[in-house]
Amino acid sequence: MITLDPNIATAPSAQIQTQISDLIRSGELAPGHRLPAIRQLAADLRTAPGTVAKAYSTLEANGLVESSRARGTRVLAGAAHHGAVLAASQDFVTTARARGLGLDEALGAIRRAWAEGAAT
Amino acid sequence: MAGIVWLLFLSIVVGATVVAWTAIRAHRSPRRFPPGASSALRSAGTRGLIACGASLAALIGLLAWAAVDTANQPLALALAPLLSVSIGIGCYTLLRPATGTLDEAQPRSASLAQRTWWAQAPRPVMVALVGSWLATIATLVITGLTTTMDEFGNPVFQAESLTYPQLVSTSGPYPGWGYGVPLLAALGLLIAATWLALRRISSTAALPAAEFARADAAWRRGSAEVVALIALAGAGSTLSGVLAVTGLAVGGAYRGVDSQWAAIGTAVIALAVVCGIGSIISVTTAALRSRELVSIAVGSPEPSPA
Repeated sequence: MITLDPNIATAPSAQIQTQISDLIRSGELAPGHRLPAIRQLAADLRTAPGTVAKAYSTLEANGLVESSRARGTRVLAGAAHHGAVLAASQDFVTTARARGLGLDEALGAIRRAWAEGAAT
Repeated sequence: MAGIVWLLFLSIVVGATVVAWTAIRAHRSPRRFPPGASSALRSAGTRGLIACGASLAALIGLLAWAAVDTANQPLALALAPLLSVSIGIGCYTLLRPATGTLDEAQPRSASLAQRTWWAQAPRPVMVALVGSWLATIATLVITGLTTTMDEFGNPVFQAESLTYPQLVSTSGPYPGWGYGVPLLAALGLLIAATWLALRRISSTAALPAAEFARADAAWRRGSAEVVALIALAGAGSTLSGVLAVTGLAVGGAYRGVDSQWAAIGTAVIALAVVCGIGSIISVTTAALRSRELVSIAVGSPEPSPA
């Protein structure tokens, strides 16, 4: 499931694209999985078909899905993160939650560690 | 007298179906869905009941027409099941489904699974439906190809004996192209009506919250099952009629000529009875399934006002 929240500042197409990207990279959407038709997802999310089409074309540009008239929009193989990355991120989330961190604080810790890693 | 026997037979089959359905459902725990999902379930059940009622009303109307128009009576009787269920399913498609209300500022969720028109109804029901269509087409084509005209221009079946080549035995009436072509056209209408209804079910927007996902799947599955069962009843009763006439003609033509073919004729009549009973069970189950959707909706309360 994905959720579209009209109350947050992020554009609806970016919300859709980010959530689907996360699901593909986490391996929850397997390679070959057929995404719903643009009209279906737009109707379900009560948004314009153009919004979903924009999200799908961004996903395609990022190499996460491929679209064709006959086969629809399908998840490409090789887009999921490596298992070690997924396992490490799960461990990190467990530790962060145990220490009472919120999502923003946990992401802040990641950003800091990322910056330090880039500097060395 | 035949009418009374037919009504008695119909009542027994309907009654047995209701008893069996009630017995099976009694062992299941009642399903409850979150408040807010009841409007979609109630709407789906009501549309199913309207489709069953419209089919029955159209059938009665077409049978009344057949009773009055004696010149076209056999064809009108043959077309009545296919046309009546097409009308019932058409009514289902025309009625607007409920998709739940949503505040503009409320977040909305959607599944990332593709919905297709052919995967909404339970697989066994869809297999039976497509099987009944194919069997009806095959029977009409075979009877069309094997029909012969008698000296009055009526379609009859002609038996050919390998033992006595000089012996010619015919029996009628037989469903030749005169019945086959209109029935194939009416079957095409039913297939189109069913496709449109199933497409309507799959393309309807989902209930807009993640907590309604189960209810959303339930109304779609229930509705598609109802549409498929009504269509199955129409095709099955037509197949039953065609098989009965075919069996009588084949059995009659081969009686005293070839005992094996005469037995095949009897087997075809038995198959026609099975198809007829299956059709009555099918439409009764459709009505019961629709009623069940309404009762689930009643058991799943609307959200209480804040």
